[in-house]
Amino acid sequence: MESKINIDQVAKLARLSLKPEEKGKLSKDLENILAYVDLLQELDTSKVEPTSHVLPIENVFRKDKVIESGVRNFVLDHAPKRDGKFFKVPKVIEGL
Amino acid sequence: MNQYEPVIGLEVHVQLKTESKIFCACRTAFGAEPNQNTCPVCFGLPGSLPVLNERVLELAIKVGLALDCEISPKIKFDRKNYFYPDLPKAYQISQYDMPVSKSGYLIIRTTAPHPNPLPRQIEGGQAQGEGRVRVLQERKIGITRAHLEEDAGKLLHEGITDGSWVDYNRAGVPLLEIVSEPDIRSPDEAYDYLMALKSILQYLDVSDCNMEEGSLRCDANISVRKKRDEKLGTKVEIKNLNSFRAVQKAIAFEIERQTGAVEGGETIRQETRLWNEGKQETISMRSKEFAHDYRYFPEPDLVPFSVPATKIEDIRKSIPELPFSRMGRFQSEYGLSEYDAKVLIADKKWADFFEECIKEKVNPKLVSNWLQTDTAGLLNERKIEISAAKITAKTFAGLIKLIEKGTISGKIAKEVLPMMLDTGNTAEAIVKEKGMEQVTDVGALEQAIDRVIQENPGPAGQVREGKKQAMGFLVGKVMQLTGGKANPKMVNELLAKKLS
Repeated sequence: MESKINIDQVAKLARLSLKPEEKGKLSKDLENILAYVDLLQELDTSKVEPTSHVLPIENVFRKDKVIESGVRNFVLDHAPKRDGKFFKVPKVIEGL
Repeated sequence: MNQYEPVIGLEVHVQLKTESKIFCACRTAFGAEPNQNTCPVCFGLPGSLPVLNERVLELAIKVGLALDCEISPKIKFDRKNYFYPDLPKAYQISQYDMPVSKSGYLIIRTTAPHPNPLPRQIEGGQAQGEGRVRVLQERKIGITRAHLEEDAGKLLHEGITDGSWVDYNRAGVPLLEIVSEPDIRSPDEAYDYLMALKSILQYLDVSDCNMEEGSLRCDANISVRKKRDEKLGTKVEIKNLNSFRAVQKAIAFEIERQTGAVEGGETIRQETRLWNEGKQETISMRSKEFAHDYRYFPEPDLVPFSVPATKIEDIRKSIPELPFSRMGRFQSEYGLSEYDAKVLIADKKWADFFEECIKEKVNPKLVSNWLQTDTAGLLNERKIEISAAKITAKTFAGLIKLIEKGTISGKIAKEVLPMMLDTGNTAEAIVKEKGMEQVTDVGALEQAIDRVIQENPGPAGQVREGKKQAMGFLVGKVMQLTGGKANPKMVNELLAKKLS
């Protein structure tokens, strides 16, 4: 049976670089997951209201109020690269 | 005749006017130090939890109602997954299949020609100073949806050579993305749509709509197809549009490029292109194959939302008179032409100023003319907003009253207005101080006229012989002699009498 999983594309989207033996193993794992979802699909859910959340709660808000966190320096210190008040990343320019 | 037509849809991102971000308590104000307005939530640090800002949803519903959208009974958020250094979590919280609102429309009034206008066509007024009649057509532009999402951070490339800087102050700033149907058919119509939309957003007071500060952004989707074809052509998305004029120009460029390509037998590639303002052209972005595979899934950190009908009604009641109906009222109540009404209502501050003037019982048409031509031009030169100008509706009405009473001529009023703008003095005070009252005293006028006749015997003789063309020259001389203060109508009458 041909694989349902395009492991190279999945890896690329997830920014993972996989060794050939990992590709085989992960393809199989992912196919098993999909097969399990197919099994779930067999259940009759026509009388069940669709939900996107596990908890039976809705409408949780916060007021529009400012609180200063003061975390900037801690986070900048832990960044792979810091340049003054900025984070520094490899050059990214699209197009132009 | 060109056998192709463009099909255009616009995506407008508007920053909603809140104190704090959409899912955390960080400040949204523009101009903070880099990375100052950040916290574990908008950085996406482990253990942090986003919670929706109540005000954001209210403002989004307000916009949805103003655009005649259906407000979704069930609202949920989704994750849009992609890697980019401006996105700290590697996903953006957005809305996929249950947006705040959908299926609305916006009626625009445009001078742009269209193959299938709505049946009703309105005669436009005389455009000030241009002497040509503009016919405005009503066009209905569908609104596909308006959904909430968080903004990303900002990448800076200038002043750094060995990398890029990232400022996450904007990460988590609340945005409403308003997506139009592909109902737009020309660059001018796109411009009119954006102006109308911006105007509504300002009337609703939901956004500053400042393109320079990033609180309003626009991307355009464009394709071309053979006229009368049902099927849409391949669409190209244009980004990096920094002004409404840039949108207009980029669309015009892209229509030409695509039409040329199709006529030359090429196929259009689905891609994203960037507008280059310097070169006035669109440039292909190296397209990534899977760039549009965002693998949306429901955001598990946020619960779903459902807004009670009573709450929606409360928000509906808070919607003020919108530009479209105000325009109609300006025509019926003040007798303005459709064109004048359209210009005045476009910016709420101008429309408010106009109505404040009218309360002083001055001629609306005169106020409208003086606002649109001289005042707009002078404020533009001085780069000040009407709301920040030293002139008030009351003092402006004072100037109009002096014109109405004939105390000063229009020519003198043009001199008084800039002085009012610069000093904040009333028109009455300036006219009095500078002795600018119109000369209506017959004796004084006759004296000036006699002198002009004496000094210009040639033209005076011509008028006596019935050559009326020389009259204008003599009236001009009298006006010159009196420093523009003579009442032109009286000068004409007196001159005609003397030379008959």
